[in-house]
Amino acid sequence: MTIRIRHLLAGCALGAMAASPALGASIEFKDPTGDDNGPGNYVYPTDAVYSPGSFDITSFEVTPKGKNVEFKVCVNSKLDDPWGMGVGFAVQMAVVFIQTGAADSGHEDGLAGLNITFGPEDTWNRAVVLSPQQQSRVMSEAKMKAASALNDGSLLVPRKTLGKGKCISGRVPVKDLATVSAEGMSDPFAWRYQVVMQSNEGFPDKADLLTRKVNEFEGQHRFGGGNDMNCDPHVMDILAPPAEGTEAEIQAQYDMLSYECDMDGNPVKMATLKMVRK
Amino acid sequence: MNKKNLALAAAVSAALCAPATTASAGEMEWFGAVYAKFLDGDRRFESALYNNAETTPGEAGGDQGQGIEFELMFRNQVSKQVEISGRLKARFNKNFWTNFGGFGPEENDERSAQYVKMRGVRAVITPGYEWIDSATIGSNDFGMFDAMTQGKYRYIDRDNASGLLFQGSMLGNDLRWDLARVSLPRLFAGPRFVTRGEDDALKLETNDAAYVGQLRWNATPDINTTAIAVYVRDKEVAPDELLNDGNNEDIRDGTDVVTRYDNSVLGLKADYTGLGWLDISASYYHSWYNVDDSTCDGDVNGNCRFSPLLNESANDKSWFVNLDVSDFLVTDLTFNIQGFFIGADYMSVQSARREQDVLLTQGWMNTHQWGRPDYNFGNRENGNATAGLGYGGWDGETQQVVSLMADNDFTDFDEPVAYDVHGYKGITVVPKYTWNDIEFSAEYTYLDYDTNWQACGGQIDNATGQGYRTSCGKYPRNEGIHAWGLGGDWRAPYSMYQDRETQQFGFNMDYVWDIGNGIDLGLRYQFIKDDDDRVKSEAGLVDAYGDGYASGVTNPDWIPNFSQQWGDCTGCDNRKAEYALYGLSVGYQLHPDLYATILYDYWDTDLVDGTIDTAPVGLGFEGSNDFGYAEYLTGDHSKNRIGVVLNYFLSGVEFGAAADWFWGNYDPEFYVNDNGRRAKLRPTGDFVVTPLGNISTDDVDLNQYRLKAFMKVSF
Repeated sequence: MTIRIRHLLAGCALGAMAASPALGASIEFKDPTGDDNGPGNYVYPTDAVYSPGSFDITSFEVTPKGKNVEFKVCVNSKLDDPWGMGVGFAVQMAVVFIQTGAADSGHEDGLAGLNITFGPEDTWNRAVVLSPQQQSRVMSEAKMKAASALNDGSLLVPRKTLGKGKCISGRVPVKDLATVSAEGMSDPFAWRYQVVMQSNEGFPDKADLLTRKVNEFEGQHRFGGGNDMNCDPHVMDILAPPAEGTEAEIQAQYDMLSYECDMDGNPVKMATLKMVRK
Repeated sequence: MNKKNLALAAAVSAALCAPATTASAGEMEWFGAVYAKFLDGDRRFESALYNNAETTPGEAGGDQGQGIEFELMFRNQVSKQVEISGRLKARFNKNFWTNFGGFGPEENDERSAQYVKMRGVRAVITPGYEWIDSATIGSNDFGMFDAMTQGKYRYIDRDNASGLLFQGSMLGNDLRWDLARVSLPRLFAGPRFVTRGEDDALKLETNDAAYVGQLRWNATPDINTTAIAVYVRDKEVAPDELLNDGNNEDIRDGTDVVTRYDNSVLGLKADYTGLGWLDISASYYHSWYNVDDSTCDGDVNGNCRFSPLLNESANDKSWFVNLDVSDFLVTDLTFNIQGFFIGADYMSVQSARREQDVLLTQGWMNTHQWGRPDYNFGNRENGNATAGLGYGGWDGETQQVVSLMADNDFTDFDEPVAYDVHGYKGITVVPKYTWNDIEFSAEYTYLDYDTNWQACGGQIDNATGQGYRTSCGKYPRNEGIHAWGLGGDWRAPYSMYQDRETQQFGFNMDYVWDIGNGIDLGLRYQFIKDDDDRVKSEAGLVDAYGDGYASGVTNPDWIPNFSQQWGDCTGCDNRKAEYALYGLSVGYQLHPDLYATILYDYWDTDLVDGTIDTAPVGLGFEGSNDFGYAEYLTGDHSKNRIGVVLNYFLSGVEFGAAADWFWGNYDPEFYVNDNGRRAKLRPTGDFVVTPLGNISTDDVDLNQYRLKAFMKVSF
């Protein structure tokens, strides 16, 4: 590498750092309330533990904290722990998909049980699972149902995920998240994100990574309004560009989560998500 | 017939004729679990594969043995509109491996012989009509309602509750309704824990039911309201239908019924989340309870002493207000505040018995909740004391319920405790704050009681015999040790005389020390100050203690002498308790599949429970040391615990283990009436005579070891 190129790269790196918020700062994405219905018509399970707003994302925040990055997802309902998970929340599970590198180096398919895909320009390199289950439990499930993502380091589970107030947060080491970007820097503020809100299912289907199913009709512990097969997105809420919490983002979410099934329940068109970035 | 309208047709295209699950229509899905448990301990009781079974007649707990159970679940999407499911489960209670597959004297006992029981069978109908979403016929835990009205049944009962449930929605799912008919459990859902009278000829149980209706309206994403109503009726054959009673009625023209009891409850709830930083919720409940006058004999130790419902008709209310504040003035500082009132006479026979929690406070210390304890004599032949889990109590959290049948039977020491909170009124404040990666939380709770009264709110007139014997017949005593000793009164919220106030303080700190895989450090502190002045008048003293506890005292050495033991000393029976807990925990991911936690707890309790002549007012058989459990516990109590908890996960299987080692000391103290005031006694002999036995003046050392390990394979 010539001296000129090294200087050029250093300058780009410094420029990237100068453009980034100072260490300890965070970036925040907003999401409108009342859109916790997936592609527009999903309904909550009927059990009383699923209180209104439990799956309604209101904000998502990324905060570098030393050697870690903290991800915080907030919902439109006070978090409760009716199932005794011991971490301040119980019914929710959020997955943070992150594009940390080039689009052609990432995954298009979502994790098992979500029934989503990402567009070719919106692939993900890392997925952080914010679950109230113990890390060991999530990892053991991932070994069966997301083995390749786990093995190549794409799937990450925080050592501890906590719920407080209305927000769920978990931290992951920067070294596990970082991939070298085109600019030669790994900058959480330059990454692109998508957050998928699901429910903590302690007794998942054999092919689901601790996710709760969406069926055509809701049940005591099943979402309704979808399809009884796996052609519909099992997702209640996501971020929609530009993630400022405007009403227009509701329709943008519905558009992303739209899907089509054939008569046998096979997907004709999968829900296709986009990433957001500040 | 109108098909259910699917909104946003541009976004969704319905699949036609698709089964409800990934299986093909009509194909049975099979799944289930294998669960094995290993118990060990130094109490050496082996009545069951559960640590605690104190209150179920004919049952008892244990700390020994191994057992395994098999649970097979099935589900079939019969058609697009019909689904069935169910469970086949082996009985586990006494299914010890040493039974060798069921052989032995207890082979015919279904709790021992690995019999498989059908449980949880139901059909779910989704007809696709606009006016109804689904109908569920059969087993149900009824968790879609409310802990104060129709609660979710506890796990053991969850498959034993059955009924009809209809659910629908309107206004684009913003308005949802639920209607249910729940078949009334005949083993506990009525006075004296039955839903029948004493006359077999008049018995009618199988059509007794609770009827529940609920409307939930999500007015906006920020405003939600709920109305819920429950009506329960326990019917019996009308007595005059018997031919031989002189009325000459017969059944050829049908049979009339009478109401043994009925219970109506109305609940209204609302919450608002529109402010962002502040969420507000409130709920109000009112109950009406009517019971036939002939059901109970009115004696505090009579036929309705043990009962999940009041012995007389009554109406009352309860309410809760919650404020949840986020980022109050400072980022990461939250407050949860709850004000509450639970009426002493509030009755809902279908309210939650456990596994739901109506209060924000963490509640009493569960290590002291041994329900039928034996601290004084260590009598291995005391069946009541052997049925429970012993000195260590429970490790799990408190689940506060509003039910006189709060249920902790068939639980193990690592599980939560259900505790009845009838009469509680007060406020709880819980701040939480994160600072430099340290999670802080605290609690302050002030408790007053709607059950503060003298002679249960009745008259006290010794000349006419008015007092607790005439006024307190309304309230079932159950264990009869409310606000006595260290605890354990989790389904006995009523005392004859009470003037009680409680304050709780709590502080917790959690931090992940970033070394290796991260060390989870936890500190906890809890302090409870609990004072009860009990009897407040001289007339009350005569009423409460004047008869020397009637037939409740079995210690021949204790001779009642009211003038000497009580006189006018209204402060002599006062209860003063201070509980303190200091705890430390360290957790570490030893291996990607194995997480371990080590805990150390220290409890320090100072208790003064009246004088040496004080025992629970209305004392009955529980004063005996042969089969009773009212203990003399005044003095200093210190208790230590080392606990180890392991969690190990492999794909498809979970292993867990919890072990505790307790050691502690009880240093008894003694107080007497000294010319109208309570004074500390310095005994010179080896023991002190009390109504509850001759209590040694020496310190008592208590120890307990216990272990529970389990394996769960899900397939």
